Amino acid sequence: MERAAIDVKRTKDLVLSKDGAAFDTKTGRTYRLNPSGEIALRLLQEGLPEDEVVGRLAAHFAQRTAVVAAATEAFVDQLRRYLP
Amino acid sequence: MTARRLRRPWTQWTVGLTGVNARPDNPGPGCAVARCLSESVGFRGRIVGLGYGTLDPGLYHPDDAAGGHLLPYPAAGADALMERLEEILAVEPLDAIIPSLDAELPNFIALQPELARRGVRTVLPGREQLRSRDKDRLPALCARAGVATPRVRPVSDPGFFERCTAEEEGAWSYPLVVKGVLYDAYVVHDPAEAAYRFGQIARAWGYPVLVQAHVAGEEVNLTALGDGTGALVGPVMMRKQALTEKGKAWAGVAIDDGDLLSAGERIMQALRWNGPLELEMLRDDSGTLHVIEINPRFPAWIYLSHAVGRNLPAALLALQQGVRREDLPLSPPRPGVTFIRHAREIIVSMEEIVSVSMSGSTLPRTLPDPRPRLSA
Repeated sequence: MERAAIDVKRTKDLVLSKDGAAFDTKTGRTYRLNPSGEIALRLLQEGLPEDEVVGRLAAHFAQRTAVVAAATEAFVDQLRRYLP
Repeated sequence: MTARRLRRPWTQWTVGLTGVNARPDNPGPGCAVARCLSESVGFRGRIVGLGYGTLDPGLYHPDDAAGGHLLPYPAAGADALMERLEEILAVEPLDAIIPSLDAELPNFIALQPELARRGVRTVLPGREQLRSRDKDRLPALCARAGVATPRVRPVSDPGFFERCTAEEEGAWSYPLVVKGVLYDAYVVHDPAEAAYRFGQIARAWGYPVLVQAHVAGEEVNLTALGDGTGALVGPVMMRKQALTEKGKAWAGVAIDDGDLLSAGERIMQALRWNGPLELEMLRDDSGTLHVIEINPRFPAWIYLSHAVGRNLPAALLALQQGVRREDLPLSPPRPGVTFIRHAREIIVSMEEIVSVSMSGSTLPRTLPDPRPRLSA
Protein backbone atom coordinates (compact mmCIF):
# COMPACT_ATOMS: atom_id res chain seq x y z
CA MET A 1 0.00 0.00 0.00
CA GLU A 2 1.36 3.44 -0.89
CA ARG A 3 2.19 5.66 2.06
CA ALA A 4 0.40 8.98 2.32
CA ALA A 5 2.73 11.95 1.94
CA ILE A 6 3.52 13.88 5.10
CA ASP A 7 1.91 17.30 5.51
CA VAL A 8 4.76 19.60 4.40
CA LYS A 9 3.04 22.69 5.82
CA ARG A 10 2.88 21.06 9.23
CA THR A 11 6.56 20.09 9.16
CA LYS A 12 7.35 23.76 8.66
CA ASP A 13 5.96 24.46 12.14
CA LEU A 14 9.16 22.85 13.42
CA VAL A 15 11.93 25.38 13.88
CA LEU A 16 15.40 23.84 13.95
CA SER A 17 18.10 25.29 16.14
CA LYS A 18 21.75 25.02 15.17
CA ASP A 19 22.32 22.30 17.77
CA GLY A 20 19.65 19.98 16.47
CA ALA A 21 16.65 20.89 18.65
CA ALA A 22 13.32 21.20 16.86
CA PHE A 23 10.73 23.49 18.46
CA ASP A 24 7.14 22.96 17.37
CA THR A 25 5.70 26.47 17.22
CA LYS A 26 2.17 25.06 17.13
CA THR A 27 2.28 22.89 20.25
CA GLY A 28 5.23 24.34 22.14
CA ARG A 29 6.97 20.98 22.30
CA THR A 30 10.69 20.57 21.73
CA TYR A 31 12.36 17.50 20.17
CA ARG A 32 15.97 16.49 19.79
CA LEU A 33 17.04 15.26 16.37
CA ASN A 34 20.13 13.31 15.43
CA PRO A 35 22.15 14.65 12.48
CA SER A 36 20.48 12.42 9.92
CA GLY A 37 17.01 13.27 11.29
CA GLU A 38 17.89 16.94 11.01
CA ILE A 39 18.81 16.57 7.35
CA ALA A 40 15.70 14.47 6.67
CA LEU A 41 13.49 17.06 8.29
CA ARG A 42 15.01 19.90 6.30
CA LEU A 43 14.44 17.95 3.06
CA LEU A 44 10.85 17.15 4.03
CA GLN A 45 10.26 20.83 4.85
CA GLU A 46 11.48 21.67 1.33
CA GLY A 47 8.67 19.46 0.06
CA LEU A 48 10.78 16.56 -1.23
CA PRO A 49 8.89 13.25 -1.49
CA GLU A 50 9.96 10.54 0.92
CA ASP A 51 11.74 8.41 -1.72
CA GLU A 52 13.81 11.38 -2.80
CA VAL A 53 14.73 12.09 0.81
CA VAL A 54 15.90 8.47 1.05
CA GLY A 55 18.02 8.89 -2.07
CA ARG A 56 19.65 12.10 -0.80
CA LEU A 57 20.38 10.61 2.62
CA ALA A 58 21.78 7.41 1.13
CA ALA A 59 24.11 9.45 -1.04
CA HIS A 60 25.09 11.79 1.78
CA PHE A 61 25.90 9.04 4.28
CA ALA A 62 27.07 6.48 1.69
CA GLN A 63 24.58 3.92 2.96
CA ARG A 64 22.52 1.28 1.17
CA THR A 65 19.13 2.62 0.08
CA ALA A 66 17.21 -0.17 1.82
CA VAL A 67 18.79 0.67 5.18
CA VAL A 68 18.09 4.38 4.79
CA ALA A 69 14.55 3.71 3.54
CA ALA A 70 13.67 1.75 6.69
CA ALA A 71 15.11 4.44 8.96
CA THR A 72 13.40 7.23 7.02
CA GLU A 73 10.07 5.43 7.13
CA ALA A 74 10.37 5.09 10.91
CA PHE A 75 11.33 8.76 11.21
CA VAL A 76 8.40 9.94 9.09
CA ASP A 77 6.02 7.74 11.10
CA GLN A 78 7.33 9.38 14.25
CA LEU A 79 6.83 12.83 12.75
CA ARG A 80 3.25 11.93 11.87
CA ARG A 81 2.65 10.83 15.44
CA TYR A 82 4.21 13.91 16.99
CA LEU A 83 2.73 16.44 14.58
CA PRO A 84 -1.04 15.95 14.80
CA MET B 1 -12.48 66.43 36.80
CA THR B 2 -10.59 68.74 34.52
CA ALA B 3 -10.36 68.60 30.74
CA ARG B 4 -6.59 68.55 31.20
CA ARG B 5 -6.80 65.31 33.14
CA LEU B 6 -8.95 63.77 30.40
CA ARG B 7 -6.41 64.74 27.75
CA ARG B 8 -3.48 63.25 29.62
CA PRO B 9 -1.80 60.41 27.66
CA TRP B 10 -2.45 56.92 28.96
CA THR B 11 1.23 56.58 29.86
CA GLN B 12 0.61 59.11 32.63
CA TRP B 13 -2.63 57.69 33.96
CA THR B 14 -3.30 56.46 37.45
CA VAL B 15 -4.68 52.98 36.95
CA GLY B 16 -6.59 50.89 39.50
CA LEU B 17 -6.04 47.14 39.23
CA THR B 18 -8.04 44.44 40.96
CA GLY B 19 -7.17 40.75 41.33
CA VAL B 20 -4.01 41.64 43.22
CA ASN B 21 -4.18 38.51 45.37
CA ALA B 22 -1.27 36.21 44.52
CA ARG B 23 -1.36 32.90 46.38
CA PRO B 24 1.12 30.74 44.49
CA ASP B 25 -1.34 27.93 43.72
CA ASN B 26 -3.89 30.25 42.13
CA PRO B 27 -2.72 33.86 41.73
CA GLY B 28 -5.01 36.61 40.56
CA PRO B 29 -3.96 38.38 37.37
CA GLY B 30 -3.61 41.83 38.96
CA CYS B 31 0.07 41.68 39.94
CA ALA B 32 1.00 40.45 36.45
CA VAL B 33 -1.08 43.24 34.87
CA ALA B 34 0.77 45.71 37.12
CA ARG B 35 4.14 44.38 35.97
CA CYS B 36 3.08 44.64 32.32
CA LEU B 37 2.14 48.28 32.81
CA SER B 38 5.09 49.32 34.94
CA GLU B 39 7.48 47.79 32.39
CA SER B 40 5.71 49.05 29.27
CA VAL B 41 7.69 51.51 27.21
CA GLY B 42 7.13 55.08 28.29
CA PHE B 43 4.77 54.35 31.16
CA ARG B 44 5.15 57.07 33.82
CA GLY B 45 1.76 56.64 35.43
CA ARG B 46 0.77 55.24 38.81
CA ILE B 47 -0.59 51.81 39.55
CA VAL B 48 -2.95 51.40 42.45
CA GLY B 49 -3.86 47.97 43.80
CA LEU B 50 -7.52 47.39 44.60
CA GLY B 51 -7.72 44.32 46.81
CA TYR B 52 -10.07 42.36 49.00
CA GLY B 53 -7.71 41.22 51.74
CA THR B 54 -5.10 42.84 53.93
CA LEU B 55 -2.58 40.28 52.70
CA ASP B 56 -3.11 40.89 48.99
CA PRO B 57 0.48 41.60 47.88
CA GLY B 58 -0.50 43.86 45.01
CA LEU B 59 -1.45 46.51 47.56
CA TYR B 60 2.14 46.82 48.66
CA HIS B 61 4.32 45.72 45.76
CA PRO B 62 7.47 47.82 46.05
CA ASP B 63 8.27 47.84 42.31
CA ASP B 64 4.87 48.20 40.75
CA ALA B 65 2.25 49.68 43.08
CA ALA B 66 2.06 53.26 44.30
CA GLY B 67 -0.34 52.07 46.98
CA GLY B 68 -3.56 50.23 47.40
CA HIS B 69 -7.08 50.22 48.78
CA LEU B 70 -9.47 47.55 49.94
CA LEU B 71 -12.79 47.03 48.18
CA PRO B 72 -15.94 45.36 49.53
CA TYR B 73 -16.38 41.78 48.33
CA PRO B 74 -18.33 41.50 45.06
CA ALA B 75 -21.27 39.88 46.86
CA ALA B 76 -21.87 43.22 48.63
CA GLY B 77 -23.16 44.56 45.30
CA ALA B 78 -22.66 47.52 43.00
CA ASP B 79 -23.86 50.19 45.44
CA ALA B 80 -21.38 49.15 48.11
CA LEU B 81 -18.62 49.12 45.50
CA MET B 82 -19.54 52.61 44.27
CA GLU B 83 -19.62 53.93 47.81
CA ARG B 84 -16.11 52.64 48.42
CA LEU B 85 -14.83 53.84 45.05
CA GLU B 86 -16.14 57.32 45.86
CA GLU B 87 -14.02 57.32 49.01
CA ILE B 88 -11.00 56.16 47.02
CA LEU B 89 -11.55 58.67 44.20
CA ALA B 90 -11.67 61.48 46.74
CA VAL B 91 -8.05 60.78 47.66
CA GLU B 92 -6.81 59.04 44.52
CA PRO B 93 -8.27 60.20 41.20
CA LEU B 94 -8.16 57.12 38.97
CA ASP B 95 -8.02 57.51 35.19
CA ALA B 96 -8.87 53.86 34.53
CA ILE B 97 -9.73 50.65 36.32
CA ILE B 98 -8.91 47.20 34.96
CA PRO B 99 -11.02 44.61 36.79
CA SER B 100 -9.33 41.21 36.80
CA LEU B 101 -11.70 38.90 38.67
CA ASP B 102 -14.73 37.17 37.17
CA ALA B 103 -17.00 37.84 40.14
CA GLU B 104 -16.46 41.61 39.95
CA LEU B 105 -17.57 42.06 36.38
CA PRO B 106 -21.34 42.43 36.96
CA ASN B 107 -20.76 45.21 39.52
CA PHE B 108 -18.31 47.07 37.31
CA ILE B 109 -20.63 46.73 34.31
CA ALA B 110 -23.45 48.23 36.40
CA LEU B 111 -21.21 51.11 37.47
CA GLN B 112 -19.57 51.77 34.12
CA PRO B 113 -21.66 54.87 33.22
CA GLU B 114 -21.23 56.37 36.68
CA LEU B 115 -17.51 55.72 36.61
CA ALA B 116 -17.26 57.25 33.13
CA ARG B 117 -19.04 60.34 34.42
CA ARG B 118 -16.27 60.66 37.00
CA GLY B 119 -13.56 60.26 34.41
CA VAL B 120 -12.72 56.66 35.27
CA ARG B 121 -12.36 54.63 32.08
CA THR B 122 -13.20 50.94 31.92
CA VAL B 123 -13.38 48.55 28.97
CA LEU B 124 -16.04 45.99 29.74
CA PRO B 125 -18.31 43.59 27.91
CA GLY B 126 -22.07 44.09 27.99
CA ARG B 127 -24.14 42.13 30.49
CA GLU B 128 -25.43 39.80 27.76
CA GLN B 129 -21.94 39.22 26.35
CA LEU B 130 -20.71 38.35 29.81
CA ARG B 131 -23.59 35.95 30.35
CA SER B 132 -23.19 34.25 26.98
CA ARG B 133 -19.71 32.94 27.89
CA ASP B 134 -20.90 31.55 31.21
CA LYS B 135 -19.95 27.91 31.60
CA ASP B 136 -23.54 26.68 31.25
CA ARG B 137 -24.02 28.64 28.02
CA LEU B 138 -20.76 27.68 26.35
CA PRO B 139 -22.33 24.99 24.13
CA ALA B 140 -24.74 27.51 22.57
CA LEU B 141 -21.97 30.06 22.00
CA CYS B 142 -19.57 27.48 20.59
CA ALA B 143 -22.25 26.13 18.25
CA ARG B 144 -22.64 29.65 16.86
CA ALA B 145 -18.87 30.01 16.53
CA GLY B 146 -18.36 26.54 15.03
CA VAL B 147 -15.97 25.44 17.77
CA ALA B 148 -16.16 22.22 19.76
CA THR B 149 -16.90 22.24 23.48
CA PRO B 150 -17.76 19.43 25.89
CA ARG B 151 -21.39 19.15 26.92
CA VAL B 152 -22.26 20.65 30.27
CA ARG B 153 -25.26 20.72 32.59
CA PRO B 154 -26.12 22.25 35.96
CA VAL B 155 -26.53 19.87 38.88
CA SER B 156 -28.26 20.64 42.17
CA ASP B 157 -28.59 17.10 43.54
CA PRO B 158 -25.45 15.07 44.29
CA GLY B 159 -27.52 11.91 43.68
CA PHE B 160 -27.15 12.78 39.99
CA PHE B 161 -23.64 11.35 40.08
CA GLU B 162 -24.99 7.88 40.93
CA ARG B 163 -27.57 8.02 38.13
CA CYS B 164 -25.68 9.95 35.49
CA THR B 165 -24.45 6.95 33.52
CA ALA B 166 -28.06 5.89 32.83
CA GLU B 167 -29.53 6.60 29.40
CA GLU B 168 -32.36 8.77 30.80
CA GLU B 169 -29.82 10.98 32.63
CA GLY B 170 -27.78 11.53 29.50
CA ALA B 171 -25.44 8.50 29.57
CA TRP B 172 -22.50 10.44 31.01
CA SER B 173 -19.31 8.50 31.53
CA TYR B 174 -16.54 8.94 34.07
CA PRO B 175 -14.19 10.75 34.38
CA LEU B 176 -16.24 13.94 34.55
CA VAL B 177 -15.37 17.50 35.47
CA VAL B 178 -17.26 19.07 38.38
CA LYS B 179 -17.12 22.87 38.29
CA GLY B 180 -18.32 25.93 40.13
CA VAL B 181 -20.15 28.56 38.11
CA LEU B 182 -17.30 31.01 38.62
CA TYR B 183 -14.36 29.17 40.16
CA ASP B 184 -12.86 25.75 40.74
CA ALA B 185 -12.95 22.60 38.65
CA TYR B 186 -12.10 19.03 39.57
CA VAL B 187 -11.75 15.90 37.47
CA VAL B 188 -13.66 13.12 39.24
CA HIS B 189 -13.53 9.40 38.54
CA ASP B 190 -16.49 7.91 40.40
CA PRO B 191 -19.79 8.93 42.05
CA ALA B 192 -18.30 9.21 45.56
CA GLU B 193 -15.52 11.56 44.45
CA ALA B 194 -18.00 13.54 42.37
CA ALA B 195 -20.39 13.97 45.33
CA TYR B 196 -17.49 15.08 47.56
CA ARG B 197 -16.33 17.73 45.07
CA PHE B 198 -19.93 18.77 44.46
CA GLY B 199 -20.33 19.50 48.19
CA GLN B 200 -17.01 21.32 48.34
CA ILE B 201 -17.88 23.59 45.42
CA ALA B 202 -21.45 24.20 46.61
CA ARG B 203 -20.20 25.25 50.05
CA ALA B 204 -17.59 27.58 48.59
CA TRP B 205 -19.43 29.11 45.66
CA GLY B 206 -23.08 28.12 45.96
CA TYR B 207 -25.40 26.56 43.39
CA PRO B 208 -25.67 25.48 40.69
CA VAL B 209 -22.70 23.21 40.38
CA LEU B 210 -21.87 22.22 36.83
CA VAL B 211 -20.83 18.90 35.38
CA GLN B 212 -18.88 18.85 32.14
CA ALA B 213 -17.77 15.93 29.99
CA HIS B 214 -14.06 15.30 30.41
CA VAL B 215 -11.77 15.76 27.42
CA ALA B 216 -8.33 14.22 27.67
CA GLY B 217 -5.67 16.34 26.06
CA GLU B 218 -3.21 19.13 26.53
CA GLU B 219 -4.31 22.61 27.48
CA VAL B 220 -3.60 25.57 25.27
CA ASN B 221 -4.73 29.09 26.05
CA LEU B 222 -5.21 32.29 24.13
CA THR B 223 -5.55 35.77 25.51
CA ALA B 224 -6.45 38.85 23.50
CA LEU B 225 -8.42 42.06 23.54
CA GLY B 226 -11.79 42.72 21.98
CA ASP B 227 -12.85 46.18 20.86
CA GLY B 228 -16.51 45.40 20.39
CA THR B 229 -16.27 44.96 16.61
CA GLY B 230 -15.58 41.22 16.68
CA ALA B 231 -11.87 41.66 15.95
CA LEU B 232 -9.34 39.61 17.90
CA VAL B 233 -6.75 42.18 18.95
CA GLY B 234 -3.19 41.13 19.84
CA PRO B 235 -3.69 37.40 20.40
CA VAL B 236 -1.07 35.68 22.53
CA MET B 237 -1.10 31.86 22.68
CA MET B 238 0.46 29.63 25.27
CA ARG B 239 0.73 25.95 26.16
CA LYS B 240 0.84 25.11 29.85
CA GLN B 241 4.00 23.18 30.69
CA ALA B 242 3.67 22.81 34.44
CA LEU B 243 0.60 23.09 36.63
CA THR B 244 -0.20 23.90 40.23
CA GLU B 245 -2.49 21.54 42.15
CA LYS B 246 -5.35 23.75 41.07
CA GLY B 247 -4.45 23.28 37.43
CA LYS B 248 -3.07 26.79 37.02
CA ALA B 249 -0.05 27.39 34.82
CA TRP B 250 3.24 27.35 36.70
CA ALA B 251 5.23 27.40 33.49
CA GLY B 252 4.18 27.88 29.91
CA VAL B 253 5.57 28.44 26.44
CA ALA B 254 4.35 30.86 23.79
CA ILE B 255 3.07 29.06 20.70
CA ASP B 256 1.77 30.06 17.28
CA ASP B 257 -1.10 27.71 16.52
CA GLY B 258 -3.21 28.54 13.49
CA ASP B 259 -6.08 26.33 14.66
CA LEU B 260 -6.21 28.00 18.06
CA LEU B 261 -6.03 31.42 16.44
CA SER B 262 -8.87 30.55 14.09
CA ALA B 263 -11.01 29.29 16.99
CA GLY B 264 -10.27 32.51 18.86
CA GLU B 265 -11.26 34.63 15.88
CA ARG B 266 -14.55 32.77 15.46
CA ILE B 267 -15.41 33.05 19.14
CA MET B 268 -14.52 36.73 19.21
CA GLN B 269 -16.67 37.29 16.14
CA ALA B 270 -19.59 35.49 17.80
CA LEU B 271 -19.15 37.37 21.08
CA ARG B 272 -18.15 40.82 19.80
CA TRP B 273 -16.31 41.11 23.08
CA ASN B 274 -15.15 44.36 24.58
CA GLY B 275 -12.10 44.16 26.84
CA PRO B 276 -9.62 41.45 27.73
CA LEU B 277 -10.47 37.76 27.62
CA GLU B 278 -8.84 34.36 27.87
CA LEU B 279 -9.82 31.19 26.03
CA GLU B 280 -8.96 27.94 27.75
CA MET B 281 -8.94 25.04 25.30
CA LEU B 282 -7.97 21.40 25.25
CA ARG B 283 -6.52 19.67 22.21
CA ASP B 284 -7.59 16.03 22.13
CA ASP B 285 -5.58 13.17 20.65
CA SER B 286 -7.10 13.73 17.22
CA GLY B 287 -6.02 17.38 17.25
CA THR B 288 -9.52 18.81 17.76
CA LEU B 289 -9.67 21.86 20.01
CA HIS B 290 -12.40 22.03 22.66
CA VAL B 291 -13.32 25.22 24.51
CA ILE B 292 -13.25 24.55 28.23
CA GLU B 293 -13.79 28.08 29.54
CA ILE B 294 -13.81 31.67 28.41
CA ASN B 295 -12.58 34.00 31.13
CA PRO B 296 -13.75 37.63 30.97
CA ARG B 297 -10.43 39.16 31.96
CA PHE B 298 -6.67 38.94 31.60
CA PRO B 299 -5.17 35.63 32.72
CA ALA B 300 -2.60 35.38 35.52
CA TRP B 301 0.03 34.56 32.85
CA ILE B 302 -0.51 37.90 31.07
CA TYR B 303 3.12 38.92 31.76
CA LEU B 304 4.03 36.60 28.89
CA SER B 305 2.28 39.08 26.58
CA HIS B 306 4.87 41.69 27.52
CA ALA B 307 7.67 39.17 26.99
CA VAL B 308 6.51 38.40 23.43
CA GLY B 309 6.15 42.06 22.49
CA ARG B 310 2.38 42.24 22.81
CA ASN B 311 1.86 44.04 26.08
CA LEU B 312 -1.91 43.68 26.22
CA PRO B 313 -2.57 45.66 29.43
CA ALA B 314 -0.71 48.61 27.88
CA ALA B 315 -2.60 48.07 24.61
CA LEU B 316 -5.88 48.12 26.53
CA LEU B 317 -5.08 51.54 27.98
CA ALA B 318 -4.01 52.80 24.56
CA LEU B 319 -7.29 51.59 23.04
CA GLN B 320 -9.16 53.40 25.79
CA GLN B 321 -7.51 56.60 24.72
CA GLY B 322 -8.62 56.11 21.15
CA VAL B 323 -5.49 54.61 19.60
CA ARG B 324 -6.65 52.59 16.57
CA ARG B 325 -6.03 48.87 16.85
CA GLU B 326 -3.94 48.96 13.67
CA ASP B 327 -1.62 51.43 15.38
CA LEU B 328 -0.97 49.39 18.52
CA PRO B 329 2.68 48.38 18.85
CA LEU B 330 2.15 44.62 18.62
CA SER B 331 5.10 42.44 17.57
CA PRO B 332 4.70 39.32 15.41
CA PRO B 333 4.22 36.11 17.45
CA ARG B 334 7.35 34.87 19.24
CA PRO B 335 6.80 31.14 19.83
CA GLY B 336 9.25 29.54 22.20
CA VAL B 337 9.37 32.32 24.78
CA THR B 338 8.78 30.60 28.10
CA PHE B 339 7.65 31.78 31.51
CA ILE B 340 8.34 30.08 34.81
CA ARG B 341 6.40 31.42 37.76
CA HIS B 342 7.95 31.66 41.17
CA ALA B 343 6.75 32.74 44.56
CA ARG B 344 8.54 35.65 46.18
CA GLU B 345 8.16 37.40 49.50
CA ILE B 346 7.70 41.13 49.77
CA ILE B 347 8.40 42.85 53.04
CA VAL B 348 5.68 45.05 54.46
CA SER B 349 6.03 47.26 57.50
CA MET B 350 3.72 46.91 60.46
CA GLU B 351 2.55 50.51 59.91
CA GLU B 352 1.48 49.63 56.38
CA ILE B 353 -0.47 46.56 57.47
CA VAL B 354 -2.11 48.52 60.30
CA SER B 355 -3.04 51.28 57.87
CA VAL B 356 -4.76 48.84 55.51
CA SER B 357 -6.48 47.03 58.38
CA MET B 358 -7.76 50.21 59.99
CA SER B 359 -8.42 52.54 57.06
CA GLY B 360 -8.60 50.19 54.08
CA SER B 361 -5.74 52.03 52.36
CA THR B 362 -1.96 51.88 52.32
CA LEU B 363 0.16 54.77 53.52
CA PRO B 364 0.95 57.33 50.81
CA ARG B 365 4.25 56.67 49.05
CA THR B 366 6.11 57.38 45.85
CA LEU B 367 7.54 54.89 43.41
CA PRO B 368 11.06 54.98 42.09
CA ASP B 369 11.36 55.79 38.38
CA PRO B 370 10.05 53.02 36.14
CA ARG B 371 12.72 50.52 35.12
CA PRO B 372 13.02 48.67 31.83
CA ARG B 373 12.75 45.30 33.58
CA LEU B 374 11.65 42.04 32.05
CA SER B 375 11.63 40.00 35.20
CA ALA B 376 9.76 39.55 38.46
